[in-house]
Amino acid sequence: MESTNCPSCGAGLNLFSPLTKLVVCAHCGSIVSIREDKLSIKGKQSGLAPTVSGLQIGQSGELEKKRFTVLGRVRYKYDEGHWDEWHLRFNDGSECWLSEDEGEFCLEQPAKPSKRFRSISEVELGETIQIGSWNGSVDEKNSAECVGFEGELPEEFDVGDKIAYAEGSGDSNQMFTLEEDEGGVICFLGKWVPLATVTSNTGSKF
Amino acid sequence: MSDSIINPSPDLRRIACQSCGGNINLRGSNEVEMVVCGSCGSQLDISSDEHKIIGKSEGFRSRSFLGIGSQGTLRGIKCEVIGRIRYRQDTLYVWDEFLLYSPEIGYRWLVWENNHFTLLAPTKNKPNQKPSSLSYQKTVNVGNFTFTVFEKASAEITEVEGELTWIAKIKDRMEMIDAINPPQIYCIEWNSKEIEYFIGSYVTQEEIVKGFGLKQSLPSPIGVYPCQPFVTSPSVQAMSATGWIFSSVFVFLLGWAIIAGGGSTVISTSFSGQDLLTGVESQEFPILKANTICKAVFSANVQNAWAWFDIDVVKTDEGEVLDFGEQVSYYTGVEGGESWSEGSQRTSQVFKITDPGQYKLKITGTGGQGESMQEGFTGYNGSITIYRDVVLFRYFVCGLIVALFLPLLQLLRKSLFEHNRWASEEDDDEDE
Repeated sequence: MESTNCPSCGAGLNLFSPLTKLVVCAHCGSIVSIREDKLSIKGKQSGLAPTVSGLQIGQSGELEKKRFTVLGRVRYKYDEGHWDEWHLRFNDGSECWLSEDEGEFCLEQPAKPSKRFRSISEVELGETIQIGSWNGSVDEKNSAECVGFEGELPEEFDVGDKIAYAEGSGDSNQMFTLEEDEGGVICFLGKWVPLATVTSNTGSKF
Repeated sequence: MSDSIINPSPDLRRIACQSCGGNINLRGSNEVEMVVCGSCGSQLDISSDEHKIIGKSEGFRSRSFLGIGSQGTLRGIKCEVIGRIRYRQDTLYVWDEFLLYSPEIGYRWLVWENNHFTLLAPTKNKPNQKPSSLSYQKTVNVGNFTFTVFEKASAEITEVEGELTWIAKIKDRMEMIDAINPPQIYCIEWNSKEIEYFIGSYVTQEEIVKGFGLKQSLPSPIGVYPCQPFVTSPSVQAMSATGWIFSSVFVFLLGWAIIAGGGSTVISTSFSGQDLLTGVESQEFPILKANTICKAVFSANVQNAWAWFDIDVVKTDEGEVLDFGEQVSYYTGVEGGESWSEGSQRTSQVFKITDPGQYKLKITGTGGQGESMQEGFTGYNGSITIYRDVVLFRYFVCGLIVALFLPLLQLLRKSLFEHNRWASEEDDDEDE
């Protein structure tokens, strides 16, 4: 863990990950960008409303038999609702995104679908998506906007950033997300994770 | 939704309406996205701290028996009514969906239509076919269950109140498919952006009244609901099951009577028509038991003629104990190029001998032939055969009819119930 200070208020910033590109000062809400070890203030961030689970930055837990610490969170909003992406760092140094939507968690990893898309507009609702030997179908196709973030994040975000996405599920306890970015459409394969398996460091369940 | 995780119930939160300043109590979890102000009907987006006004709902014109904040226990789960949406399909069908929140299991939808109720939960189980390929009465597999498509329609939100876990606007439209396997129902709902799947089951009015502690009874349900099960009282079920058991027994006995109940031959006497003018006596035959059922089988090779037999059953040492008559007649011909026949050269009659002993038959008779059919015809040969210990299957037939009455009545009721279940949808389907 690396310690530094907020360039705005001087409060201590504990950076748990060497991959961190953006951190929000928990004290003053300043958005601090980290580039080549140089800190610069990008703006201010007001507090985010808690999620259904009550998961919080700095909490530790266990997922798939690996200990993790919650580093950051990004909230996205779409027409009918919102969801949160939690950024986790495991004790072995690996990092991942854990989605929380309507009270359920999904652990996502990058994946390669058999069909490549250049944009989300090419994806059809109900279309079958094959990832390896797994098949799912598209349940949702929408666009969302980043409405806030907190903690440490491995890439830069701006409030108002828009993403086009599609997501779906299959027979097994898995789901996928397709997200449009500058290089095309990237895919994540996720697994629904019962929160009961995510135990806090105090042993209590979130 | 066993892996659905919902935080313990938050304390009742209170926010101020951005439009009228009225207090709004929030009953759901942090998952709630929208709330309608009970005072002014403003719809507030509460997913962020800004609580933006996103529309206005005129509110429900009539109060429901389940108001926002009603608490109860449904299927063993404590829950609270936190929201309500009214949908309209065309101009004919209107239904309400109550959003129930339980800190224990999360959110459920209680659908209220024509005073019938269904409890729905979101599911990740998808159908084995694309929703667009499903049509009326087509079967669809979902997990281990098979459902039959009952309805494919589109609906519009017309009214909304309370809290919702998504942002619903008046006039939002959705396409929907309801597939049934009573008492279960599987629902697919979609719009241009999203497909959602729900699974649920029929809930009786008694469960609603008892679960929410309603003081008054609810209006009677109208018609048969798509996923309403056919229900009979336990006593009728038991009686019907007993009826099926007895029916099986009677069918078995009937089969046995037909196959093995013909009895054993005791005598067989042949004669000519001429013999019968003066009378014929059979050999003696023994009757071993009291109340022995016997059968006399008559045959005569009459052709376009009839023969009448008078039978006296005579006990050797006592005289006549019984008499009866039987006619054999058989006619054939050709009319309009087609041959026809009527009657039979063979007939039978059952009789009972009450006392054991030695018996014989005294047979007399006459016949007729020709267009006048006058008596005096004797040009035939005949015979009579007596069988002993015959089983009468008419009693089993009567027993079978009595035993089948209730089960068949139940089948009829169920058939009518199923007819009524599909009747309205068949009409709609024909209209389309």
